[in-house]
Amino acid sequence: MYKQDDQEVNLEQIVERIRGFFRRFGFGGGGRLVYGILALMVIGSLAWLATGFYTVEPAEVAALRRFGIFEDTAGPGLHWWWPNPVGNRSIVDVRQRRRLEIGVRGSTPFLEESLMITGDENIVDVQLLVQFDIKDIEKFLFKAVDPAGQTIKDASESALRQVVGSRGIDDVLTTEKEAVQAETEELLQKLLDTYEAGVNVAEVKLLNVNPPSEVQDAFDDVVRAREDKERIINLADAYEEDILPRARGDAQRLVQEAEGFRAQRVNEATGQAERFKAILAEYQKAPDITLQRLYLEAMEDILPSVSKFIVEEDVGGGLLQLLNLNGGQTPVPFNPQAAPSSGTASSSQQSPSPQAETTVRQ
Amino acid sequence: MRFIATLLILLLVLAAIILPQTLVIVDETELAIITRFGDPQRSIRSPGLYIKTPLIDSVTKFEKRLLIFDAPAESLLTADKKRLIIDVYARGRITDPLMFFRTLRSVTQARSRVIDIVASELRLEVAQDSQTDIIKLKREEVENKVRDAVRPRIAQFGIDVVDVRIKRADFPQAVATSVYERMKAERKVIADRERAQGAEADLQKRAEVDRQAVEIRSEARKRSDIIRGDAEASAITIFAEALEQDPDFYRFVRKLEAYRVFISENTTVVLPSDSDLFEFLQSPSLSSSN
Repeated sequence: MYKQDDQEVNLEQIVERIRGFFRRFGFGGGGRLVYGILALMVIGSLAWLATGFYTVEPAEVAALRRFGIFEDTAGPGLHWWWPNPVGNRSIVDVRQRRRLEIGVRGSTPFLEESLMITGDENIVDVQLLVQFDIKDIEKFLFKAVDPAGQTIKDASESALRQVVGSRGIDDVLTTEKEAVQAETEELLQKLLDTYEAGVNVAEVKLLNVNPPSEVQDAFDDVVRAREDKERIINLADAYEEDILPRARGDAQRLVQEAEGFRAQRVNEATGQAERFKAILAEYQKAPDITLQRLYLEAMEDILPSVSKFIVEEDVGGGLLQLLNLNGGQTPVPFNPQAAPSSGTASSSQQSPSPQAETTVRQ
Repeated sequence: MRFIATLLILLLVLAAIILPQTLVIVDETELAIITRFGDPQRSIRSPGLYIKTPLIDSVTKFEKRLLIFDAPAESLLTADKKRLIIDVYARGRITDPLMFFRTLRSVTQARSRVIDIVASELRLEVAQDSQTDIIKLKREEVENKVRDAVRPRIAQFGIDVVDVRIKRADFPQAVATSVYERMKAERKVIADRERAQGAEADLQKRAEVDRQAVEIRSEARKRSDIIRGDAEASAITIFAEALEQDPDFYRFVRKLEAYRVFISENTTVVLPSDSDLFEFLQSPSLSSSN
């Protein structure tokens, strides 16, 4: 309405000019002046009305007020609305995703904002990104002061701190990041709706969640300790992989050897038994002579290579009478009782031949 | 005609002076009161075009939108004698412009009064709560209590408080330092525990593996012995089955075999001349043989 003062000034000037214009063309006199003034008023009004044309870009919405009252919105295109001071229009980009950073500006950390207390009274460094757009242009424009600035910033900080304050530091740092985001988003939207900010929270995202730099080393050491633990457990697993297969291999070898032994033993036994049976069958056809033959064959095999003493029993007198037939060895006397015969073979009671013992003693 | 022209111009000029004095446009974002020589006449709460008496009446407009009352951070003592730096904010809007005009007159003044009231209520409330309550358990409850307490006091100014929120509740710097120390100690405990658990798992695993290896080997040895025993048993059965057909003959044959083995080149054998072997050494006589 103050603009009307300007208009008044303009009008006077214009009137003067127009008057001169009329005079130049020879229109004098009052009547013409009246028309002139009227025409001027019409032209002025039209010019004023013409300032009511405006365009709305895609993604924008115009909120229109007449005498201060919100009347309508207009989408993209060319429109007309009452110009000042009767009407008023505010054009807002509603589809643009706006960003708000808490605890950081670009890449510069804002510790005052980002350091906060967790539920277990530790301190954690949290950087948050809030993305939002306008869901209700009427509320956005008319209901709260600075909805896209201070209002959402304060609400975001408050919501984030409340959510982080409800959890332990380890949960915030690791497992419950998603929950922190979701709860912060929910709480923030609730606050903004209470404030009638007309803002829609599209996304709340934790950019960085870290322990404060003062204690970063201690937290890193925990990570290292966990890695050490993993490594040691892996080494133990490797030990298992090394030892058990070897043990199983050894076990297999033992069992296989035993199986081999069994086969060998049974085969040997069977072979020897069969051989015995075969010999026995032949022996039974002519027992006496076979015994003699077997005995003599054995003696033929054994005696050629050994030192032999033949002792005449009738002479008596023991050792001195021994004849050394082959070398200088001194024989041990013995009682030659073991001449083999069919009787020897058939009498099982007889003790083992002393021949054996005596010769071994050599 | 000249008269009419003059009249027209006069009218225009008059309108230009009087209209702004008469017409009042109140915006969606505004509240207004009309005062006559400083004396409030009426309040305007909804937007639109209004008329007032020119020159005598004047208009004062106020913000209708939700106002920000941002209190400075303050160090407060909790019930358990701990210090917290609390930064609180309130949100409220002017609902009664007349009352607001009478008591506070300007938003700037309102801001400092509202902040004072909120801060003092907060101080009282915090003094009754423990630190944990404020940080973790009862944050919203504390906020709501403060809001409900300040609401009637601030309503006197024609302002309706919609919300009171703790924006930040932080440890003072000195406390933060000791908190950091405590955090470091806690982490050390965790790190030590992790490493010890690693060692435990390692030892346990190796012991288990060693045990299993011993088990596997001894089990195999057991099976091996069983198999070997079985082998011997089978061999004995096989032999016995064959040999019992003529044990004496077996004894004979087997002994001959044994002689072959144990009588070697170094052996000296003493044979009596009347041994059966030498039966024919001195005289060939079949009769003496049996």
